[in-house]
This record gives sequence, structure tokens and C-alpha cells, in this order.
Amino acid sequence: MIRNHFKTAWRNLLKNKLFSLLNIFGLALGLAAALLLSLFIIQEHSFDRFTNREKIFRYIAHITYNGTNMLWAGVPNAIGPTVKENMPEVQRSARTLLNGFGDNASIRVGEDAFIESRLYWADPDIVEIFDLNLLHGNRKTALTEPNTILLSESKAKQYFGNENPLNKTVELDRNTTLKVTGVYADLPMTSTFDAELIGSFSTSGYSKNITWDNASFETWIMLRDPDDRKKVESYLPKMIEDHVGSEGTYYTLSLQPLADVHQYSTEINTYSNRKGDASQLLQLTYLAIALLLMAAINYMNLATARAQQRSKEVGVSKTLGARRKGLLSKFYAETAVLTFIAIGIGLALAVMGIPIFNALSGKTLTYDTLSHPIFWVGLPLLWLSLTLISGLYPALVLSSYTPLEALQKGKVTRAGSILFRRALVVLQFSASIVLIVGVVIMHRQMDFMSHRKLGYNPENVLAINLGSLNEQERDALRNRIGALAPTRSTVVSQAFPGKGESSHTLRKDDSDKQGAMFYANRVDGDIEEVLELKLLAGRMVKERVDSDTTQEGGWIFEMVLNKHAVDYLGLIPEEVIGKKPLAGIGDNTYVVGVVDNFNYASLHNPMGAYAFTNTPQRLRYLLVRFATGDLRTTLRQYEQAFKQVVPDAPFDYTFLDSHLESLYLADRQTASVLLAFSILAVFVGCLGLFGLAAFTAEKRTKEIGVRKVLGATVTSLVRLISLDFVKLVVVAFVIACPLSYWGFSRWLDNFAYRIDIQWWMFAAAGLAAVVIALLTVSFQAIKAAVANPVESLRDE
Amino acid sequence: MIKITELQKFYRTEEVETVALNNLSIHVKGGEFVAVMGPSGCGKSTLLNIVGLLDDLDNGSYLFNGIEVAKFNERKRSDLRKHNIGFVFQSFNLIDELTVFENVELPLIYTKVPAAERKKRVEEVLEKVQIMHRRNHFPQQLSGGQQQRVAVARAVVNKPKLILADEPTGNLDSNNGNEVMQLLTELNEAGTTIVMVTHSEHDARYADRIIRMLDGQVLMETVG
Ligand SMILES: Nc1ncnc2c1ncn2[C@@H]1O[C@H](COP(=O)(O)OP(=O)(O)OP(=O)(O)O)[C@@H](O)[C@H]1O
Ligand SMILES: [Mg+2]
Repeated sequence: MIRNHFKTAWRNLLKNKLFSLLNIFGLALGLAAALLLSLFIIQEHSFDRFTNREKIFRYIAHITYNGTNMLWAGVPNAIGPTVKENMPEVQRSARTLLNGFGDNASIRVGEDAFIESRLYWADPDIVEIFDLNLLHGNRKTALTEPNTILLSESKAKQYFGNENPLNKTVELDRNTTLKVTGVYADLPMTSTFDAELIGSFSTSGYSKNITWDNASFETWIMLRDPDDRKKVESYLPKMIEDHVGSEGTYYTLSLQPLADVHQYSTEINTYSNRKGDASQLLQLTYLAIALLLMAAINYMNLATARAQQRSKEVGVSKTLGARRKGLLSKFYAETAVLTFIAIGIGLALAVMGIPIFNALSGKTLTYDTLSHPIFWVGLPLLWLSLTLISGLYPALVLSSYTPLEALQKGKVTRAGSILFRRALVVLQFSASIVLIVGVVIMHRQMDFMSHRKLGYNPENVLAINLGSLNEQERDALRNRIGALAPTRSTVVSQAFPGKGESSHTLRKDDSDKQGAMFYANRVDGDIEEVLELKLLAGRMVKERVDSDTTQEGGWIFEMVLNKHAVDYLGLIPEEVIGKKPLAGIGDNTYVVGVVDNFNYASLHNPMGAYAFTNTPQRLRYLLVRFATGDLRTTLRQYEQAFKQVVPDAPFDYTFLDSHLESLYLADRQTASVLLAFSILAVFVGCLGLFGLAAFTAEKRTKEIGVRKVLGATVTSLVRLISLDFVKLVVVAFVIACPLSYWGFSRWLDNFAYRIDIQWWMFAAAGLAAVVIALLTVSFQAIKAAVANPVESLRDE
Repeated sequence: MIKITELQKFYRTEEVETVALNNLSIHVKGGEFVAVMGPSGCGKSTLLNIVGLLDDLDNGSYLFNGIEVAKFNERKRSDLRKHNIGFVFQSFNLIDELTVFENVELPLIYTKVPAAERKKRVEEVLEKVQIMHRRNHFPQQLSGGQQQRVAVARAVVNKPKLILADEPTGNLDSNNGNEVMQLLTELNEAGTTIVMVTHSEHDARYADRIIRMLDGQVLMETVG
């Protein structure tokens, strides 16, 4: 019986080629998208699957600083050893420090120089905590000595080819020689700890000075038993009190289990960029379910529409004695065959879509996830549930016809089923319109951000990383580059807008406990020329010279505030000059000038206070404003100049405008993912509409024939048929407007500087939906309208 | 009014070519009531469709009110048709989604008659076919005879000069059939030309003249 069902199902499928094709293709597309998202969701849930996962934790510092609360994964370097010493529950403990706090390291191997961003300094226990697979070297002693380093397998290949790197040396930042004591298998993409090089912690200068103050060291521990977490956590406040005293600590500590690290760290300041986002993941899950539902709706819609054509078949079967149950299983068998094929195609499409998904979203979905057992358990379940859901309505409708109803061809247009199908189309189009509105709004916002006046000009400015250069080399480089033809102006600085500033608190007076956070950037030279800032009063800071001392012999420093800072102090620019505001950057720092506000960070954040100083901070960048021209030649000239000054260091640079772009990368990625899925959703919706229109046109051939005989023109008939669908789209539009307004207002709230949602955005989306619907429907409408009425009116 | 000479009509399918009408000539004067009879498949409906400008012809000439319409395109045919010809079909062909009133109103909409005028004229003909009390019903809610009366009303509402009826009583019992024939006779007496296809000798007797067809040709004509 069942075999028989599948056989007739297969025949039916071949008989109605167009219908089957639309149905399978629509379903497959929706499935492909949903599968792709599920793969990503699965991958996100399989992060950090280390052997001792349950036992691994990291410290989190809860910092209250300048009245704001922050969470840092970095903690002082005294914490790890102290806790381990006092708590036998802690089996292993490893402090880690990302080299240069995020600045690139330069590694020399023989003649070659490499720029590395993922060099960590770590205690020896790191090997056991993350269960590193050592391909070379001794895991017991790998990181116990200073000046030793472990290479990931791929770095070892890159540096030494196929040679065994054990006991070879590499040079870091032109001043430290490191001996390779091991090679470990690359950590998977699904590891939060993303070290490509691990140096022994004892090598780092920051390991010498044990402090309770500098919270910069991400520290991982492994407990003997995960249940000991509470015990360890309760010890932490006591430890701080014992060692620092209850006054004066600006942090408290807690433990974060490794299982939470990937998904629940968006608010935490960490070294690793491999952060997931539980709420975004939830949104993607909804999107996957929505796409799946849309595909299922499509199926239902088309199948129900066709069910009426098949009423005769049902009528005959029923008069011949078929039972309802038999018919139900027959129609379900048909659905099962169809969904099976669709899942197959959908899976193939999803696999092909992986690189596209990665390119659009900036995620790194790997093919490995395909082999995840959940996926293969999920697929049959998906098939089953999809079959049940999408087969439900058509099967019920068809099998419920009484034989008489079914045999009266064309009479079985039940109001209920028509309404149901229309509701489905409305639902699909509402979703599509919401997505289209979203696409419009997101792209307007992106556009707005890239065209907004920032108060400085990030274009044609190069930031050269001075890394390991000493003062003489720095000056030599500056002179050389300053003399090159394309150079307009240069400045040496601690930071460029949005990268590298130090944060401090500006206070009006002693009673102003809260204060305002501001960023300080030490500059040596004409930053206002390089960044094209507007000076409102006074002058810029001078380069510091030895004569800048007070009578007591201490240094005198200068600072230039931005307008925002001056406003906070309640002064006007001219008044603030010569004053010494409470800024926490030295007692003898005078204001010498005021610049206009500029957006130093991304437009997500409001403009705040900013200061240029000449206080003693490390100068890390040479900023160069250059003339527009052939960028490649310019860059080559600069690189040559750099190599002439420091032949053995890599030329590491950033363009200010591309750095700025990178701040919006995530937003752009969200926008392009939305765009891709909108196109898909609209397309799937159109397939459904196309099928429905085909069905409607067929159902109405008699009516169309009669109208033609009575004198209707082709245009009036096309209008008649299409108008019905346009009405549905209009209803969808009415539903979609408030939904999308609500949803995307919230998205825009992420930006301090945002566009307003305007009526035309909805109008454009609505119009697009109408046009798309018309294009889809008109094909069928025209076909029906130009048909010869004699054919459709022939009496049977 | 209708002068058809040497008319030929073929149906070509992939395997065979059917000659539906073969060198057929007929002549219908204005105000006449003509019945067309003949065995199934002899080409009656085909002839009616051509006379009604629903279908084109392959050979021959067709003068409608003295105008050669054989080479008319769809648009011109449609214009001529909607002002001059009304149709009554065996299976009524009312539109299920429209009420009785709306069905009858349709031809007036297509000839752009103003709404007020439409209402007046629709009500007039509905009175005439005695279906006024059912004006807001849907076709499925009427009996076959009532449906065919509505179809007749729709055919005449535009005051056409010619009414073409293809087996108008084919789906009706004799009582209902007679009512419809009565209606057609009244219309004819009021001056409308009628061409009616029928299988019923009884119905054919209402006509002034009977054209008998066989295999796409006129076999003989009898005056009733
Ligand atoms: N669309 C068509 N394609 C092919 N052949 C057709 C087509 N329409 C009609 N015919 C053929 O043309 C011939 C005449 O058909 P027509 O419908 O005019 O017959 P009829 O006299 O009206 O018959 P009936 O009394 O059964 O209605 C028949 O042989 C029929 O098979
Ligand atoms: Mg016929």
C-alpha cells in the first residue's frame, strides 16, 4: 500500500512538471537558507569543545571606573598565582597576555620578517588547560623557560617550511631572541583562545612586576571539579581584601565558565575577536524558522491550490469506496516525496552557499560543521516535521470533500480555503516587505555614515606603525618621509582617532566625583594639519623640549581640548586657555588651545571629550597626509623609506579611512546578510504567487472567456486578474509597515548618529512589492487574457 | 444581415486535420428567426462561433450588415461584437462570483454605459425575464431555467441586433425550455434577429426557417 502511494506520488510529480518544479524549488531554496543558518547556529554552539571544557573558567574583572561599569577579561597578574597557591581546587592556572596589547608584533626568521597579531605570552599550564596537541616538543617543559616560544603548525610551516623548527630561533621586535620549544596543532576556528604563537609568560616584561592593579592579563584556570566554582569564587573577595585592602580597589572578580565564553562575552573586553552573540544567534534562529515556514507555506499554498483541480480524482476514489484515512496517507506520501527531493537539493545548495555566506557575513562557517551529529539527526526530523506541516492543509482539505462536492467540478471553491491561501500570500508578502524596508533603511544608514562630516578628514592619511623603532630611527623615518613628494604633512602620535588613545577623567572641580571620560592622545607635531582639524582658539601643543620645566624642576605639559571638553567645564574656548583642568594627566598640564569637535570613534557612539597632549606616552604611529595620486607608487615610496631606515623591521601600516570602515564592518555585514535573505524571501514568495496566479487563471478561464465574449479587452482582463493580487500585497503592506518601523527603529537606536525613518522608505518597499507581484502575476494574467474564449467556453 | 459564402473552417491538431465547415453558404435577413439543426459534430457550434465573431475563418467571405468582417482582427471583432451581438449558451456561462444583477450588467460596462443608465436597463430586462426578485442572488442559488433566463437577459441588455443561442434549452426540462423559447420569440417579434442551434424539433418550430447541416455543409433549408 505504502509503496503504491509513493509510486503514484512520483507519477503525479512528473505529470505536473511546472507545479512540481515551483514547489520543489521554492522549498529547496527556503531550506537551503535555513540549513545554512542552522549550520552556523550549530557551529556557534560547538565553540570551545576542549577536553576539560566543564572545568575551565576565566576570571572576569567587574570594573567601576569613572562612574561607568565595565567587564574585562583582563585581570591583574597577581590573581592567577595567588588563587592557585591558596585554593587546592584550582588544578591549573595560566595568565595570558596578547603581545603589545593588540599592537602587531614583528617576527624575524632569518631574512624574513612577519607581522603577527596573535602572539600570546602565557604560563606553562596553558598547554594542559587547552589540551594543546604538541607535534614537537615536550609538553611538560614547553613554556617553563624565559625566551621560549611555541609555534602553531601553520606558523611553523610558514617560518621554516618542512624543517623541524625545534630549538631554532626567531627574533621578536628586533630586540628579543626566542627559542622554539614546540609546535602545536592549529587551534580550531571554534576556539576562543586564538593563539598562533605562544611565548613563555616569563619572557614578557610585564611578568616581572607582580601587581594587583594592572588588569591586563586574561587568566584561565582549570578546576579539579566544576562544582568547586562557588568555593573559588567566594575566596576571591577575601583575597582582594587581604592583599589590597577594601579601599581603593576598582574591581571585583568572578569566574566565567568556558561554556559561556563564546556566546556571552559581547559586553566583555577581551583579546579574542572570536566572540559570538547569543542575541544575534537567537535572531538568526528566528530567521531560519521564518524562512522554513515561508517555504512550507509556499508548498501548502501551491498544493492546496492544486488540490481543487484534483477534486475529481478524490470524488471518484471516494465513490469507489476510498476511505479518508487512505486518502490522507496518499497525499502525505506525495508531500513526503516532494520534501525529500527538496531537502536533497536544499542541502546541496546550502553546501554551495557556505563560501557565499562567509563572504557576506564575515563569519567563518567551516565545512567541518556538516559532519556534526546534530545536523544528521536533525535532517530526518526536519523532513518529518516539514512533511507534517506542509502536507497538513492540502491533505485535510482534499480528504474532507464529500464525493458529491468533489465531483461537481469547479464548485468546490470553499470560501475557507480561498481565504486561507490568501492569508498565506499576505503573510509571505508582509515578511518580504519588512525585509525590503530593512534593506532600504540599513543601506541609507550606511550611506549616511560614510558621507557624514566627521570634523576631520580621514582620507589620504596613512598611519605607519612605529613598533620597535627607537627615537633616532623614528626621527630619521619622519624626515625621510616628510621629504618625499607625495607627503603633505606628518606627525608622530600615540594614537589616531579611535585607536590607541588613553582614557582619563575630566572633572569640573573637586566636588565633581563623577567626571566625564575623555581620550588623550600624545602628539609630536602638527596633528591639526594631518587630520585637518579646526582650531577654535589658541594653538596646538608644542613638541616637548628640556626647558619645559617649572621652577621646582617638574615637567610642564600642554594640552589642547576639544569643544566638547570645554563645554563640559562650562567655559568658552577663549576662557579655558591657560587653565589647568582636573584631567588626571599631571598637575602641570595647561590648556593651550581648543579644537572643534570631531567624531574620533564610530558613529555608534556620541562625540565625547578629547585632548591632544604632550605628556610622556609612547609614540606609536607616524601619521602621514599624502596627496591624491597613484596610491601604489606612493605606498612603495614610503615602504622604501621605511626599509632604508630600518631594514629588518616589517612595514606595518593602516589607512585611516579603512580603519574607519572597519568600525562599520559588522553593520555592513548585517546589512548584506539581510539583503541576501530578503532577496531569497521575496523570490520564494514570488514562486508561491506565481503558482497561485497560474492556478487562479486556470480556475477563472471560463469567467475570462465569458467576459471576452461580452466585449472585455485584454488590458481590462489583465487588470482584473492582477488587481486581486495587488489587493493582497496592499494588505501585506499595511501589516508590514508598523512591524518594520518598530524593528528597524530599534536597530537604528544602535547609532548615536542615525537617519530618521521616512515615509518614502515604506512607499518604496510597498511599490517594489507591488511591482514584483505584478510582474509575477501578469505573465499568467496575460496568458489567460489572450486565450481564445471559444476554447474555454466549449460545452462538455 | 448575415451573408456567408463559401466558408471553410479547419481544425488542425498534430495528427489530423478536421474539416469542420466545408464550402458553407448561408444568408440570414434582419429580423429573421433561424434554427440550425444537425447531428452532433456536424459543425453547428463552429458556425455559430464564426457568425458571432468569436472565431476566425480559413476561407470564404462573411458580410455582416454589408461589411466584410472575414479579415477583421480580434480588436475590431470585439468592438463589433459587443455592440451588435448577444450570446446564449447551453451551459449558461454565468460568472459564479457575480450576482444576477452584476452578470447582466457586464455587457453594459464593457460598452461604457453610465451607471445610472445601466441600473435602469438591467432592471428593465430583469423584469422582462421575470427574475427581478432574484437580482441579488448568485447563479448557483438559481434553478437551471432561471439561470438561462438570466443568460438571456444578459444577451439582450445591450439591445443587440443579433442573438446567437447554442442549444439554449439543452440543459433544461421542457417547462423551463418553453419559457426560454417564449422569451426568444418575444425578442424576435420585437425585431431582433435570432440564430439558434438546437437538437429539438419542438424548439425548431418556433423559428421562421430551419437550416439542416451535415458534415460541415448545409443539407437543406425548410421554412417553418
Ligand atoms: N478546438 C477544436 N479542435 C479540433 N477539432 C475541433 C475543435 N472544435 C471542434 N472540432 C471538431 O469540429 C467538428 C465540428 O464541431 P462542432 O463543435 O461545431 O460540432 P456541433 O455540431 O456543435 O456538435 P454538437 O451538436 O455535439 O455540439 C467536430 O468534428 C469537432 O470534433
Ligand atoms: Mg455544439
